[in-house]
Amino acid sequence: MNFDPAIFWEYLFHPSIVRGAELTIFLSVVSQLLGILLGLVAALGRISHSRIPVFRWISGFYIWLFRGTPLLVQIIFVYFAIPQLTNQRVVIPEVPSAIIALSLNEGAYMAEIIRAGILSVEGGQMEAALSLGMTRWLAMRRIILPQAIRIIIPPTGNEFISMLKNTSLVAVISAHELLFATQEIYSATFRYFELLTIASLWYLAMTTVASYLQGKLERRFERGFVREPQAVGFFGRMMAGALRRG
Amino acid sequence: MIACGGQQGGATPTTGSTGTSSPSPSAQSPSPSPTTTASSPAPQLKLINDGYLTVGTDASYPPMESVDPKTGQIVGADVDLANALAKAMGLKGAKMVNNSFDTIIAALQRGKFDIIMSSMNDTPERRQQVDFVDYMTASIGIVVPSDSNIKADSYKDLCGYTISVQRGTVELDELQKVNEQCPKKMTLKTFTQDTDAWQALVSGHVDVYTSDLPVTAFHIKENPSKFKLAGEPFSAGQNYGIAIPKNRQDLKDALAKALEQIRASGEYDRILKKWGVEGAALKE
Repeated sequence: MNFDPAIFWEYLFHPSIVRGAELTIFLSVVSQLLGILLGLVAALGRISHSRIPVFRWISGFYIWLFRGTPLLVQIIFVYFAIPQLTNQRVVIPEVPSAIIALSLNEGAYMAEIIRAGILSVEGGQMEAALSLGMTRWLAMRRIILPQAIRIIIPPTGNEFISMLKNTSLVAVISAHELLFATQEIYSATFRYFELLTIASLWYLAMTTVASYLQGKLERRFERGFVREPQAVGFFGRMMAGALRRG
Repeated sequence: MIACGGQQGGATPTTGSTGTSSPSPSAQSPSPSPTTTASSPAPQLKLINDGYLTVGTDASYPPMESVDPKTGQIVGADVDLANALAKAMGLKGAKMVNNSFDTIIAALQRGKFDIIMSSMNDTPERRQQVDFVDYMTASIGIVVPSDSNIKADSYKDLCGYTISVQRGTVELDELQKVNEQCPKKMTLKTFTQDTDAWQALVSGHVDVYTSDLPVTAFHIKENPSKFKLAGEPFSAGQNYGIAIPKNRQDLKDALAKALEQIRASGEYDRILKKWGVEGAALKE
């Protein structure tokens, strides 16, 4: 097997690789947060009951456009196509281009995830809130969304893991994230196997930490959620069993 | 460590040769014929596509190699030279395979093509991976917008500027070397495709773009009065070479002979002139 351990160990913690991983994490976290914000606005727009359908149309269009085109196309568009469109008046450097494309793309997916979470909260909750005199917006903020979060977290965790890997696409616009750093080294040394193994290990490390954090977040939001009343004591459990079978 | 170029008579038996005549050491066509219809009976070479020379190239490099938008075919000086060489070797022609430059040597080693003709400089580092048959000289050009104040006759004059360049090239190696001595560091933006590096200059992401002279001349010509060379082109120090996998002495000899033939017949000069790169012809 043509594997050079010396090369592997030399580059595993090489400064350019570490800096690349740092940029990957930075891009992922910032884009995911912005994506969640955009997604929230778009989701609320999508289910808006307002008499003016503008919000529904705008949100619908945004989601359709950014889910319907490849992320790579969006990245290249922001970096190369916008300057051409505006005759070099608007020229967006690598990292901002990456964040813009990644957030817009993520927002479209988050919108659907958040919408699913909202729909999962039983309609009775909104009715009850409204009958107590709350406005839709207050009800959404204080009653519906807090319950929706439980449903939103697992797919969002999924999205964040995807995001960590999607950032590798911005290598094409010369953003110096992890894959770019890897490519620079293998282009010069021709040691593809060692370098791509290094990159894979770094991505695995980051996604594993992300999964772990997702688990903690899920458990935090599990608190206070009661599945069904638990019967206490032997007699109570017998009664509960009888009632269920009956 | 530079792999030696010259060779002696031992014929390397081609691996897994399909049964016909084994190549005899120096039995190839002796004198190049002056006609353009050169066709020396080549010994059976093991090729990926029988009867054709399969050539890897990164077609983001006009006028040497690029994709013709109308036909989708790869065209350029390297393409015409490859076809001429193939015919001189007694083959039907050359099949071009597009492969991005920074992985092209690995692809050759994996057997994706027989040779690489992609304006590739013959450097000591690359000689550790492949063998070369040099076929053109190479110079480097530095391009800036017409209204730029930057003057540069070498990379030393580019300290402090933002520069775009293709990844895996001698330009990038040279820039990185020079940058180490720069008091004010250059910002280097590297791209997988040379055309993306060019676009970075056009979009205004960088101050300077650098590449091989034929390519810079082509881009300047295509965008009249918008861009200019920042100074005199300078030699890259190494020629363009056809890259051949190691241990393919048979292929190397066949190509060297074919190259002599097309140079003697005038076909070589005709092709270079057609693409406007006659200034890069081999001198000796």
